[in-house]
Amino acid sequence: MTINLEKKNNELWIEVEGRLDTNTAPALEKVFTDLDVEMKDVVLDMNQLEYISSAGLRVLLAAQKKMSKIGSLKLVGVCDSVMEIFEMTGFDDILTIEE
Amino acid sequence: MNIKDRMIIEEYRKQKADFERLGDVVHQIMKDMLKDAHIMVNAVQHRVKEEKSLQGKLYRKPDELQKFSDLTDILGTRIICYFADDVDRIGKLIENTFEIDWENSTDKRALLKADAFGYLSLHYICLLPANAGYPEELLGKKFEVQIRTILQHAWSDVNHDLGYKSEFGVPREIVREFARLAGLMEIADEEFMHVRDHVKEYTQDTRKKIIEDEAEDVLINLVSLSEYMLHNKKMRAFLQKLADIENSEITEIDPENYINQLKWLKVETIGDLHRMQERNEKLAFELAKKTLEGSELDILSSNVALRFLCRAELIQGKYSENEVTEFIMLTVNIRERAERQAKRLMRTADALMKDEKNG
Repeated sequence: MTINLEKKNNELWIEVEGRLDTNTAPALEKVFTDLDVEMKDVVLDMNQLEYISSAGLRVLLAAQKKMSKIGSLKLVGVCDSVMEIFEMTGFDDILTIEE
Repeated sequence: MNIKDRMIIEEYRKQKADFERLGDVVHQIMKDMLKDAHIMVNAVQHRVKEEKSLQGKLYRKPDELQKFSDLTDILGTRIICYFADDVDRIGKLIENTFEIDWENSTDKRALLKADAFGYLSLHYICLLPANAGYPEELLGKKFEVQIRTILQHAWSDVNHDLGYKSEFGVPREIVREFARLAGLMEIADEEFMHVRDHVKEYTQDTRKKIIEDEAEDVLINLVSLSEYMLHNKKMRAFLQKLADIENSEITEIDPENYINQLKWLKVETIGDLHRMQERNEKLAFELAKKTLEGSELDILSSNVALRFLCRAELIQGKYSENEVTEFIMLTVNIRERAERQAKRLMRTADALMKDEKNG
């Protein structure tokens, strides 16, 4: 999985590419742990994400909890197969998902 | 500026960096202290007095301030809380956390005459406790802690912004206007506590009814639905059954999204919800099994119980695909997504029916 970070206006865009699973989830977790305190609004661009496992869901859950206290987290570009995983686990009730 | 004031300013310049460091340390201690005590606050603030402001103070109070150590507010900290009774709770925490200079600490609330309305705040002059591992250069330095409610803060801030640091010289009408507003804030602070206590009481009462199976007529709202999802034995057992499909961990989520969906399905009371669960549990479990089995997804939101029960109700009630889409659109604001979900549900329902026919 590749992770690219880009600051756009006051938002931090995190682009994830590939598979978010046990092997790759720690890298995304680290991005949220090391987040610049000034960055209050984060957009997770999932256009290039093909798959998410439970490990990935756990990272998103922790990120959502953290960001809801200090700002916001929204997900964009979620493909059908990843969306289906969010829906079957009820994570679409937790996450803010935009087109 | 006289020699005494110049010496004070000199000392201030020497010690300013230490006070800035002290501010960061005290700020963190306060945040940890509030977190440990589970007290939610609006803000924890600190600032080191600017030199210009110190000069102004020396000018205004020439007799009171003879030496640098007479200044107790070079570092000023403030905790802004939501409820008036939290002011005292936080006050006790401050007393237990720091050393208190009682001679200079004041409860401004007690200073007001019984028939007067004005500045209400609890002030302490504190020091870091000795022998607690703090850097030597930060010990013995006094700092001020102000504790007030968000409404007391609003009143005080506006008062300050309009430039009235004291009542002297302010026209009587304006003093009276501020006093009236202070009275209004005091009443509002009391009312906020009543509302908070009422919410707590309602929640406890609802929980008791749910645990004792006496919630039949309780209307569904965020409190009753949350309590039901957390404390109803049958619902918990059903949720656990869903989690067991893939040996999943359950993460508790607020069921707010489902209030409108349940209303749409004409499930208006806890009794209605209980009956909906009774008639749909079997199908809801089959739906969940068909969806989750083999997925290796070992984390689920607690809302999946309501999700699969509602979907089973849609199938049992023979709702059309368009109606199912309309239902899903209550929480999913993108039509395309809602349509996809509706189609998937219809497909799963068909597959289940075929499985049943084939024995």
